[in-house]
Amino acid sequence: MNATRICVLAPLAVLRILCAEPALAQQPAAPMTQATVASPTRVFGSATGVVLNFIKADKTADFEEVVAKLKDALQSSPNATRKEQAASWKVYKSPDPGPAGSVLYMFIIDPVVKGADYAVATILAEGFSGDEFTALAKKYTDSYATGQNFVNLSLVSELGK
Amino acid sequence: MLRRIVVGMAAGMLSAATVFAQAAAPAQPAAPSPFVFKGDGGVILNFVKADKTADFEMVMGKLKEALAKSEKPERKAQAAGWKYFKADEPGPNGAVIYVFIMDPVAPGQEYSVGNILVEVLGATEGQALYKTYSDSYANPAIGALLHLTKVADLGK
Repeated sequence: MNATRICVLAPLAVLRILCAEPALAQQPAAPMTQATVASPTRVFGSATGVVLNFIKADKTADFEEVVAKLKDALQSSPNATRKEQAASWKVYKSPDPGPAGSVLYMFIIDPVVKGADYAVATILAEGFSGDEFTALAKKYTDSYATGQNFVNLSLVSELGK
Repeated sequence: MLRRIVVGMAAGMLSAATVFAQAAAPAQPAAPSPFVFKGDGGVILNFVKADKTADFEMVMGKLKEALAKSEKPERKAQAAGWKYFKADEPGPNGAVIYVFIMDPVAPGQEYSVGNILVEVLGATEGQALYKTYSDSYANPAIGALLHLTKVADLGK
């Protein structure tokens, strides 16, 4: 094949790009107190969603503990919508180093549950209370190196169908 | 919500960080392909010229046909886990962002669009399609790969 102009961007550079304009690309992790969990909401306007989470390298265990609790909260919720959200919500970790030594965790939500709120804070507050929620809230917010990027995606094609 | 992904990009950073993924036939032993994902999942971000999206999607349609036409089971495995999306948010300099999500990844398989097209459709048609594909990329032409390891499936 002849030489082409298409390049592959090294993962670290990709993440720098995604972080390049914080005002455009990133939102802080939702503040988590039980008094304020009703906002902000995280509702996707598309059929598929991706969230990029940039986590401090020394806080990945905390973040993954919160993810496990999020899973518990979704699965034990009496709200059918929460179970539906869980069914299509996967969490991935990039082995490549992120900007400033952060670690990238990616939520891939396919399909999105239309109109459902994907704010982790709100879901945890539904599943946990008191000191447990407070501890989870602190671990979650403290684990972020920067913020979150939300990307709305529309399916063009499934190559296997 | 994310409204744009990046406007500015340092040329120095690009030149330092990019590798040509589908270069001319190598005279020496080939380096490992960057299009082989080592983890459970993979994502490629493609920045496409706004006036070339039809070309890009046409080639992707041909890729889908090629994967279906191939008799290699590994190509079928690739197709089964490969979806592509268009981001609602505009990209840098008006580019349109197409996102490939491979979930699951077919282990050890190369997700090079050009190589698959040539393999299945032959050099003439494959390279012509690949030229159309590469011409659709915005400047700078970037296929941004993210290798991913599954941490949790929240529904299981």
